Amino acid sequence: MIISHVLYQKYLKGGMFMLMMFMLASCYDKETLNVPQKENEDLIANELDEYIDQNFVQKYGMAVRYRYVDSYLSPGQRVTPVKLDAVRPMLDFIEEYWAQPFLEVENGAEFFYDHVPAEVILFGGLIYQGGTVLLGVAEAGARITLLNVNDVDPNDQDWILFQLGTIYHEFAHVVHQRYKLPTGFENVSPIGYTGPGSWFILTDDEALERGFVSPYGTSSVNEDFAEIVAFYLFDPEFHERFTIDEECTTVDCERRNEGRAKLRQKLSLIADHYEKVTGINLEELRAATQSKIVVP
Amino acid sequence: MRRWLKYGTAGMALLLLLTGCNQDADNIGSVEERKAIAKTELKNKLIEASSGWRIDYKPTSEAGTFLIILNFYEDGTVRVQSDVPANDGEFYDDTITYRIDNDLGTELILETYGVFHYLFELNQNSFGAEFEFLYQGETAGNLVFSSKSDGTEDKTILVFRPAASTDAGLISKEIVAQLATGGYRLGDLAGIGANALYQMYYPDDNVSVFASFDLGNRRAKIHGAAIGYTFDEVKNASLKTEIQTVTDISFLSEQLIFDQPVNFTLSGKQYTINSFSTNNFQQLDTVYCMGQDDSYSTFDASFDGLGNGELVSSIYSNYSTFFESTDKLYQISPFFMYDAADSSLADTINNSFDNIIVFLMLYESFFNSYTGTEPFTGMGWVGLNPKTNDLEFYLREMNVLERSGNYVSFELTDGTYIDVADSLDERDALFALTDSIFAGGVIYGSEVLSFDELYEVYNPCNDYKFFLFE
Repeated sequence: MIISHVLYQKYLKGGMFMLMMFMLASCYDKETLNVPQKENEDLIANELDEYIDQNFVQKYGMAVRYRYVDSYLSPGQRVTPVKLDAVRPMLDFIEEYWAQPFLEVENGAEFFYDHVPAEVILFGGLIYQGGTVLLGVAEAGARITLLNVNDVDPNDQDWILFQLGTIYHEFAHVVHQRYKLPTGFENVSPIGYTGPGSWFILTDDEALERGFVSPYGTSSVNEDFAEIVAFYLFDPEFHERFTIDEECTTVDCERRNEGRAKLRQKLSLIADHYEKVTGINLEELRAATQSKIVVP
Repeated sequence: MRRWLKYGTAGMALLLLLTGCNQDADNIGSVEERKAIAKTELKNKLIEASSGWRIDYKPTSEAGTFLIILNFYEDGTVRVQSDVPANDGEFYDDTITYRIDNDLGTELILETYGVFHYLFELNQNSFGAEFEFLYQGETAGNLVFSSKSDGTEDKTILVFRPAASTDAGLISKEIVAQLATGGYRLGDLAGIGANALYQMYYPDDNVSVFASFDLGNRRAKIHGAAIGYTFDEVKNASLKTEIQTVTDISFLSEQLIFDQPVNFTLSGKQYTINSFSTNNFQQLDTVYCMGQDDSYSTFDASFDGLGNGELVSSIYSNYSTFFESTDKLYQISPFFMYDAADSSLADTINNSFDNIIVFLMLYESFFNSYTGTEPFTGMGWVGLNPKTNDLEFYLREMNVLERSGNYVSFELTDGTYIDVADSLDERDALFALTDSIFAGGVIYGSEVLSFDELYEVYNPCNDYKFFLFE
């Protein structure tokens, strides 16, 4: 259920003693979304609704929900709705950072139109649960819930990267759900996997030593795939962190390099797979994504 | 014939029953129709109030009152006016969308972010405010709602009263924000809301009363009173009294109102303060510690029940539980320690020590079995060895020189408690860091009312600040 934990000090400012965790609901093919949409019958469609209809519903087949409906949440989850003023900037973010990179690369448009989730739910705040913080939720490839939208800031790289982490992670699940995993992917680091209930005991370095980009990636082979794709696309320092070897003087460093060798192998399999089943060159897609992200 | 009668009677009964059902169904309509009618009726009631609805909103039993005026419109928007100054005053007058729904009953949902949601988010969504309301009915012209998100205990009941045309003018838009300037400025750094510490001074009797205000939760704690005005006069006063009462507060027409009046006796005289209003707000420069510029907030005040006087932000309170007794251990994550520029000291601390998990401050504390029978007074950091899971202590001894109210002065010594081998570098780092953070040897601790046993701590000699949990 959880993909990775990241100590994120900027967000820690909002709370005491919290391990900031970035959590996504797991994505099972059999999951369906039967929650009825509660339209606001009272509301006369405003410019925002018309903008969403024209630029997302009609254009991509993606309904963006910004009005609060508690049935979008799991029992016990508490979160605030989005500010009206934050909706349009968030729509622009989705367009620029999610849609545009796909539309700019060869075969990307076809893939995007065919696979984009039917619903994107926006919430303004974070969901706190048991000392952790939920930053995003994705379900069944049919819906992505984006949290902390009220902090939308196109100049805040940290905020951008976390939102992209949610989006790209789930969008990567669609690939293995429809086209299976790359052949041999699960055999690259078979003993590194932990499980859905124990991945969080690992540190980032321990995950890397096992050949994973994050502790959550060790929770299953599907999450491993989605995490690598997501990190590859959104993380400006991906290669420095995960593929380029360090010059080592310690055993721990050598272990990290062993992990990097496995990651290079998995990334190569993923890139070949994307090219084969979607026609998208993942390196081009990363370049298109990174061109949007301004490194401070 | 008997058979005919038998079946005939049964048939008649069935016919009557069915007829009755049909008539009932015709009268009350389908479930969906009834839901639609209920929603329309509630919406019409909400819209009809010409000056909107007034809510004296008390989100929980442990919070004060917020004044909110709601004006509902046909197009699904609602204008929300409140006395909450957060987010640069955006909640003074805001328009969001609402929905009348029907789930657990007829519901009013405030479906985009506004002041109710801001209050809901306080304390990591646990403050107890709400933005989904279950309609309970109409009583004497008032609309009564209950919280949808509260648990069964302490469920908030909201009474929407038809607002008078003058009610919006009662909303305070200055005093709350102005009072918020009188704190240690830590609240925004950790998302715990605005806390302020003030000295209420009544010059006719030369009486000072010290109080903490939690302006987020709308609560106040009255610590104590003394004869005197200056720090030295109050600290050394022989005529003083401890009060230590907590009361909810509200604001109306730029006036702070104590739900429970402040009562105390000093020098044989009974004092009562019901509320106060302020004017002539100023932020002035001062020096609390030699060589370090500081500032404070000051108001002319009119104390209802007492008379005219002065309201002055203070870093000192003459009664406090901070360092009140020995065998105390205070702790905080290094992340929540800040320098004069409000930057966290976590990186600085982590650059000096490995695997630090907590900062400790001990007052004659038997903090672990290693100290044997001798208590330890000092400060420093504790790490967690990732390989052995053992705690590693880097502590420096201090001598407490004076304690008065929330004021503690001390001197750092060369004594240490370091239980890590080959730790000369860490010892040097411990001395350097503690010398830097605790330069001047003086700290003040101000109780955070919304968290049990949490203090904001301020060093006026270098403007460093941090939290401590007892």
